[in-house]
Amino acid sequence: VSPTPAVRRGAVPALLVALLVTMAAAPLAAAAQKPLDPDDPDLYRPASRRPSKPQPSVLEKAPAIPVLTTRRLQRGVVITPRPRPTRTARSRSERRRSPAGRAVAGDVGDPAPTSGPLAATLRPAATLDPNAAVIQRASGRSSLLGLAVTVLLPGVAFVLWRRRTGPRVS
Amino acid sequence: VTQPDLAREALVLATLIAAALAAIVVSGADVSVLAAVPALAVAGLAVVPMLPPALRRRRLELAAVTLPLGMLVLAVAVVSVAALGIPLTRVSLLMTLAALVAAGALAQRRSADRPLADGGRAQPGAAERPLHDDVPAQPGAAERPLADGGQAQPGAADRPVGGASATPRGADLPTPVAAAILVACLTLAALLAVRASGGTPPSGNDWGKYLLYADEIRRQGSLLIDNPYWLLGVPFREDPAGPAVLGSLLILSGGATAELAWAIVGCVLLGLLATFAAVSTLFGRRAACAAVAVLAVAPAQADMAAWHGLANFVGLAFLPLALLAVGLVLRGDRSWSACGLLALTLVGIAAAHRLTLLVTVVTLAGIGVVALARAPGVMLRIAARLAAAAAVLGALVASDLLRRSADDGGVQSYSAYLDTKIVWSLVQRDLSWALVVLAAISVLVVVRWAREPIAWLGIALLGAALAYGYSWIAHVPGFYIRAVYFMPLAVAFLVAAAAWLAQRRGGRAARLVPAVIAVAALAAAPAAWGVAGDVRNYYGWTDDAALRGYDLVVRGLGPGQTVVTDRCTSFLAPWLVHAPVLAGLLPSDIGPAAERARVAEARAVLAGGAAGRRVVARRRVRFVLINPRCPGTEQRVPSGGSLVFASTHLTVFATGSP
Repeated sequence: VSPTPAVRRGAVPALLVALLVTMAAAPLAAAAQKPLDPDDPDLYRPASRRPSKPQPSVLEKAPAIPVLTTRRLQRGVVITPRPRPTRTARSRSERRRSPAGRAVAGDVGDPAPTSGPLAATLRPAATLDPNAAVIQRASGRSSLLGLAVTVLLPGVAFVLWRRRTGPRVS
Repeated sequence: VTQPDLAREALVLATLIAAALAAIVVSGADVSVLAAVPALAVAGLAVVPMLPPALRRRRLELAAVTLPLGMLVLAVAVVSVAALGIPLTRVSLLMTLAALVAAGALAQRRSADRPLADGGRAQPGAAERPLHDDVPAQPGAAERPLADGGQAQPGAADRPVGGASATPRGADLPTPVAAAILVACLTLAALLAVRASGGTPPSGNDWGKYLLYADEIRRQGSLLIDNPYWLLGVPFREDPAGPAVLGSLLILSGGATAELAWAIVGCVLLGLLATFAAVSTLFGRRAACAAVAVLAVAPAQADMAAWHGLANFVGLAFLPLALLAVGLVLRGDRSWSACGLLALTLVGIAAAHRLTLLVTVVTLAGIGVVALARAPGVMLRIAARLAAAAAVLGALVASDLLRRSADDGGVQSYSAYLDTKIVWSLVQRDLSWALVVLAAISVLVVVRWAREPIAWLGIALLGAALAYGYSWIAHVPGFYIRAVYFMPLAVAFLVAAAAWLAQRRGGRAARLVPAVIAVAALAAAPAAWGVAGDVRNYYGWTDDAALRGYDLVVRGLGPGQTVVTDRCTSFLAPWLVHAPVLAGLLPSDIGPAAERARVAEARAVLAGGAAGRRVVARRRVRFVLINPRCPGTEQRVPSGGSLVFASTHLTVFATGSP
């Protein structure tokens, strides 16, 4: 059963027009929508399944976590508890309390904050040994010289063989 | 009629590469894993003499199919060798490759003795295909009868049940043009995959388990082994094909395991190559170029690459070969080589990815019912050959799969996966508007113009994917949203069939349809690029700073101490930390039901409270790892945990447990 001539004449152009109109409309519709936030943890969740309010991360909930800037978090911070703060350090910690009374961490590496649950020393993660096994497991590399043996040599040998024998036909 | 003896050339090249690999092994050198990838080519080239004639007649198609076919053959071979109890070593793997080449040489010799395959009988489709590159099909092919109409007639066994197989005049692009388009699509797909998943460390979570399994295969020399870290020690229950190949490459090369994190990009490309070879053989090169263009720009590919769905990609690289074999059978090739290819691909898919096997079987069942109604006698004979070939090729693989799943506790109830139902807004995002509209147009074209089952392969695959996506209605358990990952391939086959039909009809349709496809692919590419960036950010669950945190955990762990993770660090910690792990997965993240109990222990620790403290003491939990960006669960501070490391991608809590 073949389509009628009218369908044959009109179907494909009509579908082409529909495709072009849709393609033109899609960016406009997308532009009218609220732009996506790539940092949104619910980006790939349908709206119906998103929590009713933003869920705080564990960083915001932990009682013993000093306030850390985004930049420090991006680099990673090692936090070492300091159970016996010195008098000097305690006074420095007190000087660094914000008006709201919440402790504020000093520069990474400073011995602050120093009392109560916030007693800790902050150290940049980069001070850890960069050659540890875990780094090797994540980003180890080997010599690429073997590629020359398993790719180039057989390739060259094959080309030479074909030149010598010529293309055989069956 | 003469043609280049491509099978002989393939065997020579396979022998040369195998010799080079042997030289590496004999020298004892450790080289990059990339240097061992040509082992896939050895396996693929070795079986060329056994392939159906339609596939091994043209150089470009043969080149395209070599690597995906090689991965398929090597996976089945290595799983079979390991199932026999033979240790996987450099020597045993080289012997396996040598055996494949010897089998190919034997088949080539038999083929030379009998120029026409299948017992000397002429292949029904053979005369309808161009015998050389760039040679157009026979004039008048488009006017051939499309099907046998289901009439049982004398001699029906030798007639195609799938309808005409001919590629119309002018449908085949010249080799350089087709090759250039294929390379362009491969490049684009590689860029998108690298954008979505590449880098150090890669995005996603699953790469940890693939690297760990491959590394343990190298260490233990077997596939049926225990994972010493996952959930305090359980058997590796992953689908074996991908890890078998990755482990083999590690053994052969002696390279760094971390290099395997890039294998996901290679698997994306294998899918494109397999699709090109399959579609070109069935529908011609114009249709093949359209199919790979669609597949290259489908955002779903980037999505899957971002969470590192390696097993899914391996299954999707084998699936086009199964569709190719089905198409050849429908076209009239009843030879052992066609049935053998179908059996081999089904065995390979079973080893590669259980979900892909399910979708494949449903797809073939849909097509098979139609073909059975048209020519029941022929189809029953084909089914018998298929069963015999599958029994021979798949016995050892089946043995592996049965032993692998012997104590996995079965699957959970479907209700555990109800939060994974298909969401159509996400499907649209993963396909892009351009491809959605293109797919709709292609469905209309196929439904309107196609009368042969071969053109319905894409619709059958789409239907199977949708059936899986909505199988919760029938209480079938599964991660339903993953149905979307089969849709790009279905759309690619749909578009190819539409292009083929339009080309066959000639006239205005033949000119317009390729233009429509090109416009759609160009329109989808920016969307795919944007999605690739989004998913990289979303699934970017570790970074350099977080690696320092894992490093800290390694230093702080004592003998017998364990680690509890959330769902986003679950597969990373066993690989990066090399310590026993309890993973706080969501119920829908769990595959084997046997894992539920220990996952519940981890979730108790993450939830805090007395139950969590008891688990900490009983399991000697030293650290709790939580990704602050991890979606899907409410984040709580573990009971009694003190923060010892903080970064944007990882927080580490010490429990104080001895």
